Order: sequence, then structure tokens, then C-alpha cells
Amino acid sequence: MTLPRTLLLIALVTFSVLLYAHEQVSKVVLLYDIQRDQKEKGLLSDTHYLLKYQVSALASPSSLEARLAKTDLHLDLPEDRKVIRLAMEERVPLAKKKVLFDWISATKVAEAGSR
Amino acid sequence: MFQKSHGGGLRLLFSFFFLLYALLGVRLLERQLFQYGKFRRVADSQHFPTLALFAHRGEILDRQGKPLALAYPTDSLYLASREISNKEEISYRLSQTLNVSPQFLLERARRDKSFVWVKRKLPPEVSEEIKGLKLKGVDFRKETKRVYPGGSLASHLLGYVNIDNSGLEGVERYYHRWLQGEDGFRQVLRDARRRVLPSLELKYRKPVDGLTLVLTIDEAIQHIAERELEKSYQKWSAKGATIIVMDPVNGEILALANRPTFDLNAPGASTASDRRNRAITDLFDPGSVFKVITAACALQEGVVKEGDKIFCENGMYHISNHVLHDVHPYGTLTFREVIQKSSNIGTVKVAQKIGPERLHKYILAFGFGQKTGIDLPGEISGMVRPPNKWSGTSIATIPIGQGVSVTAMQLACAMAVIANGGNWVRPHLFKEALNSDGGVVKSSPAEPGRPVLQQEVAERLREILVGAVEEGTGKNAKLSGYRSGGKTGTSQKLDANGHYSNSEHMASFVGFAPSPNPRIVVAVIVDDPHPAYYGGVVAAPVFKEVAERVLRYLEVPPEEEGNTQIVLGQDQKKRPL
Repeated sequence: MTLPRTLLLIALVTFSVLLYAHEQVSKVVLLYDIQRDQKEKGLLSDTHYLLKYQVSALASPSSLEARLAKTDLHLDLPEDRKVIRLAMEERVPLAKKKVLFDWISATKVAEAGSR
Repeated sequence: MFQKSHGGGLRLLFSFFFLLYALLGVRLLERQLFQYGKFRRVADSQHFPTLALFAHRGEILDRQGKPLALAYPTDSLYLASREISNKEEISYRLSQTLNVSPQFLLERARRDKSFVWVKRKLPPEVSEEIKGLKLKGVDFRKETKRVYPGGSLASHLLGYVNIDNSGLEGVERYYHRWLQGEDGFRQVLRDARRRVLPSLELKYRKPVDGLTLVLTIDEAIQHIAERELEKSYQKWSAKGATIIVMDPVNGEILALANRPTFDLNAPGASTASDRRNRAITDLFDPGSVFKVITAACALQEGVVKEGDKIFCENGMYHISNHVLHDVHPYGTLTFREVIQKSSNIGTVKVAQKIGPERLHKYILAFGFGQKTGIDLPGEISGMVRPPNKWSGTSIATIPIGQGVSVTAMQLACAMAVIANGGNWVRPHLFKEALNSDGGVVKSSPAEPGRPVLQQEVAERLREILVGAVEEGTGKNAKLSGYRSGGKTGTSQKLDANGHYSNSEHMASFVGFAPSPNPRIVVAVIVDDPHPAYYGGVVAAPVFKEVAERVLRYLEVPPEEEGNTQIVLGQDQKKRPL
């Protein structure tokens, strides 16, 4: 075997070994990446389940009712027994109203003057 | 002399090293040949650990797909005690976060073990805080925690699990095998820093998640039933209360609740009495509700007709050296009125015409004295004596619901027979089971009902029971907008000596709505209410409140609007029941 051929063979073997080593190292690096991603996926999945529970708890009828009760202004129609019915005001003719307003104004002016 | 002694020293040294190497060689041979397996296992467990992959416990959903029971992963804390050097310090620091005594933790830390549980299923914020401390020998294992978003909603029905997620009560127990799934595992390669290389798996078995159960329960109906039951339970200072809402056509249970109740997320804080599912475990004399069975038998056997007149002895009837009374004395009533006004004497006179044998046959046909077969654990069958064991007064007590013991579920099923046109249907909670992809794996088989009554007899009985609500003892069960039928019941409880108590009663109302095409059967039982104790006063109003709301929820058109066609918009399509 001539020298150049020997050198070429050594170079090829070296290259192959380096390629193999590189491939193995890359594989391990990739495995660590996969592990990291799987861990992240697991954490997200855990969070998803936890949030799902929290949303369900918030949307449960008792929870909704409790929150509505807090903001309830109790604007129901009053019961009959709680209502005092006043007699309808008698319609006063406009002329009489004017006299009444004049008298009230005069009384107010007099009160202001006396102070 | 010197050379000789020098050579002897060398030989001695040589011999020493020879022996040393020989010993080493022997030891090496022993390790390699005889202890190979042991060390191989130790090395494998360090380099190729087997990690458990927990199956996710299946969810429980209501019929609309709303979650009633869920599971989420939590951290459980353990100590690798052998790895811990500063046990006192770690115990003290953990006790601050976990709110447990340092002595408890120290005792665990001092155990010569590589795995000691400290606290399981920690809240996420607590486990995060402990992880932040970065303590050596303190580690976590993932476990799933069962949680119930509704708290105490449907507690007796759903049941609960123990710390290892084994179902202990209710649906959790009955369907545990379907819900639990199957754990998997994987054997992986671990590097020197104990990091797992996930893709270099030697063995792998995928965990199979538990099936998701869809129940016949409707969360909204359950909530309505529980709210109204709670009001009645509080108002009448009762010892207990039960309500069942059922679809009479197919036996689907829409709601089931008991009082007292408990929080599913903390079952340990409740008593055994709180956790008892009274609807299927508690027996009581049904009282006047049972007159419906006597009436059904009488009509089906042609013993009486609705309009036949029966003299009710003005409230006092002598039978077998005993005197039977009516709450209100009546003269002559039609058979229809006997049931509507709940006359004991009128009913007993009809029962005497029927005879013990035929009456007993119908009692059994209506499902009394045997388990209904509902898919819940712990159901009891009740007590119905055969006719040859009836006493002289039995014919005066059993037809009016004394001397027989029934469960609330049996009463609901019996009323369903009348409501659906004469068939006894098995009550059930299971609707379907879904796999993790949402595909239906199993579904509730459509079971044909067992014929008990002819359809026309059931229709006539329904009309009589509508009359009992509109004109009889059940006026408080009259709905606004719908016609309803049902029967009140008030029975004395047995005291400690086995005698009927004059101070403790069971108030009940079992009815259906709307008439003539019932969509729901509602059974309400209130245990020992005070001061009122009549079924018509205590239980009937609960029926009214629940039935009205449920029918509106189910979008059943009210009768007043029945003559006009109600057109639902595109976005108001009728919700499937």
C-alpha cells in the first residue's frame, strides 16, 4: 500500500469516527432537549387540569349564586302589607294654584324680611 | 548475613503482595461470579430506574357535560431519610411551611429508609414553596387529586375516594373500575446527574386513563332540588330530608339529594350520618302515599270504580278489636274522593275487598320489598311481609302505608309507574362512558319497562292524583302554570321500643308534573319536622317549588299557553332531556 493511500484511509477512518462521535453527542443533546420539552409539557398539562377545576368551581351554581347574592340590591316589588297607599291628590284648578303660590311666595318674603 | 536478611525481606514483601493480590483476586472473583446478579440489579436500578406512569382518574360529568368530579396532578412530599445529614434543620424548615410539628418530621427523618411519606397531595403553592427551599433528601412524587367543583353538590350521589383514589362511596365506588384506569410504567436511562433520558426507554407501558362518566344528573336541576330541600330542612328543623327528581319514562335520575350533607372536598370533616345516602338506605313507613298502590290494585283488578260510593263510618271504624280513625271524619265518599281526601277507613274497606294475596302481589309488582337496582352501592330492599305473616290488623295498616318499610327511591319508582303509563322502570344514573378522545365506549342500555298496570288504569289514577292536588290534601303542591298530581303522606316513626311514636313523624309527598304527559316525578321526604309534620304542609311545598322551576328549565310550555303555539327561535332550541 502506498503512502498516499494509507493517509487517505487514515483520514477516512478518522472522519468516520468523528462523524459517529458527533452523531452520538447530538443524539444525547437532543435527548436532553426532549426531556426539557416533556417536562414543560407536563407542567402545562398540570396547570391545565388545575385551571379546569378552578373554572368549574367558579361556574358551579352555588358559586354563581353566592356571587349574585353579594351584588343583589333586593329590588323586588314590595309586599302589599308593606305599602301605605295614599289617597289620590285632588286636582286643583290653575287659578286656585296661582293664589296658593302667591301666598307661599308672600309668606317667604315676609319671613326673609323679619330676619 | 546482611544479604541473607535482605533477601528474606524481599521474599516477605513479595509474599505479602502476593497474598494481597490473591485476596483481591478471590474477592473480585466472588463479586464477579457469585454476587454478579446482586450488583447488576443495584447498578440497573440506579442507571435504569422504572418510573410509574399514573393513569388519570376519569372525570364525572352531568348530562350537559358539566364537570362534577375532576382530578388534577399534585405533588406529594417524601423524605429520602438516608440522604439527609442535617435532619433537625430540615425538619424545622419543613414544619414552618407544612404547618406540622417539627417532632413529627424529625421522627420521619430519622428513619433509616430511602422513602418516607411526609404529606400527600399538597396544594400547588405549598409544593412550590418547598421546592424553592432546595433541601437535600426532600423530594416529590406526582399523584392525582380528586376534586369536586360543586363542593357539596350531589355529594351522596357522587361519593368520594380515599387518599389512594379508590372509590369509597357513591358513583366513585360503583364505577371505580371504569374510572381508575390502568397505571403504566417506563424504564429509562439516567445519567450521572440523575437526569432522565426519556427517549432511551428500555421498557414502556402506556397508562390508560380512566373512562369519563356521563351521568343522567343535571347540575341545574340538582342545584334547584338541593336549594329547596335545604330551605325546608332548615325551616322545619328536621332530622333529615331527601329529594329525588326522576324521568318517569326511562328511569333517569335527574337529581338526588339528602340532608344533612357534607363537602366532597373534605369528607373527613363530616359524620357518617351526614354521608349516608338516605334515599336508598333509610327505611320508613310510607303512610298515605301507599294508598296509591292500594288504589292501583283496586282499579286494575276491577274491585271498585272511581265513582263507587264508600261509607267512611264518620271517622271511626272497628276492625279486629282495633279502632281505625280518619284525620277528618267523612260520611260517604266516592272512591276518587277516598284517595283525594286520604281517608284511611275508605282505603281499608277497599283493601278488604281486594284481599291480602292480591294486594301483596301488587306491592311487589310496584317494586317494594326488593332493591330497585340503581347503580349506587348500599341500597337496601325494604320490608314487605308475605300474606301468611300478616296479623289480623295488617289489612287495616298495610294498605294505608303502615307495617311496610320502603325507601324514598322505591316510592319514586312506584309513582313513575303511574306517571309513565303503567311500566316499572329501573332508576339509573349512568348515561354513557367516554374514552380520553371523547368517543362513546359504553352507553346505558335502553331497558324495556316491566308492565305493572294497564295504560288506562294508570291514566285514571293520574287524574285521581291530580284531583288530590287540586282538591285534596296536596293543595300546597299545586303548580302555577302546570297541572300536577301526587299524594301526601304522614307516618309515625318507630321509637326505640318498636312502638309508633306520637311525636316523631315522616312527612312525604310524591308526585308528577305536568299532567297529562308527565316529564318528572319528584319524591320529597322530610324526617321528623317540627312543629308542623303533615306531608301536605311540609313536603308538598318543596315539590311545588322544585317542579315549577324544573319544568321551566326543561322548557315545558305552561298550560295557560298550551293552546297557543310557542315558537322557539333558532338560538332557543329545546334542550335535550
